[in-house]
Amino acid sequence: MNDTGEPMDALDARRAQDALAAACAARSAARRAGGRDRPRRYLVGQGLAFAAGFTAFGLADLLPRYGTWLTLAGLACAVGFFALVWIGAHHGGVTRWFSRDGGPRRSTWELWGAPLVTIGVGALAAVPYGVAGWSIAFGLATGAEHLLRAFLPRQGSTA
Amino acid sequence: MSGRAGDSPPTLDRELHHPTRLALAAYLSACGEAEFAVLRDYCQISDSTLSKTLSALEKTGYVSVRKGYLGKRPRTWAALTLTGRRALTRHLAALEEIAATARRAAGTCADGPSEAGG
Repeated sequence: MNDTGEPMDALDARRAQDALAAACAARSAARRAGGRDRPRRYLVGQGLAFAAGFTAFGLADLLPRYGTWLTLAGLACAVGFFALVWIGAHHGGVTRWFSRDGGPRRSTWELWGAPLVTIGVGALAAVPYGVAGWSIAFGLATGAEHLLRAFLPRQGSTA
Repeated sequence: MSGRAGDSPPTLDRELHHPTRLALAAYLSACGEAEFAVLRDYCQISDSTLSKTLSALEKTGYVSVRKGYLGKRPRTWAALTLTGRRALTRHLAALEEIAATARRAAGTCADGPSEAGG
């Protein structure tokens, strides 16, 4: 018995239930905060940086005269892309966690369809134009996919 | 007081026993990183309390704290480490077990009150 006359086990169980409920509420709040939409400017910036970077890499192969500069420009765009991904993910104070148990879900199209389409477009361009064609087509397709995702209604974002 | 079952009792983590620490760890477990202000607002505690709590959890290796700048503003980010995630999972499992044991005991008492005095 404790001071209030309740059996200790009953009190412990109630405390355990309360603690579990509090933990559950905290997790839900964090998922909501991490899964909310980011401003579309991050997705737009990512798309443009990705497209410009891969196009520069592809052109570096096609135009060896400017190869060094185009490669450097591509690398700069890649750095910009990852910087935008990082800044976008940290926007709002909470970053998303990869969770198996719930949280905001992305659509099947966003998860699988769009990446497969961009890879397919790149593969088609690779047939006549080789690696340079793959690089340019894949970059432009992925950039376009990012722009579409920024301006179409969405369920969440990786930004 | 022999209300518990004969098997070994679940192990609660003393470092996560306090409600604020548990809420903090649970919040961090569902996100990659969270900013100091976000955690303070969620837990509704003062800056100094949160700072002390994060320091204590950092000492145990459950939380990693990263300081950075956004423009000229200093920002502090906290994340739950792998050790912290495992500890939280064990702690929550222990809590679940306590609650489940109590539910089972309550069910047994309701089924056979005449045997309770034995």
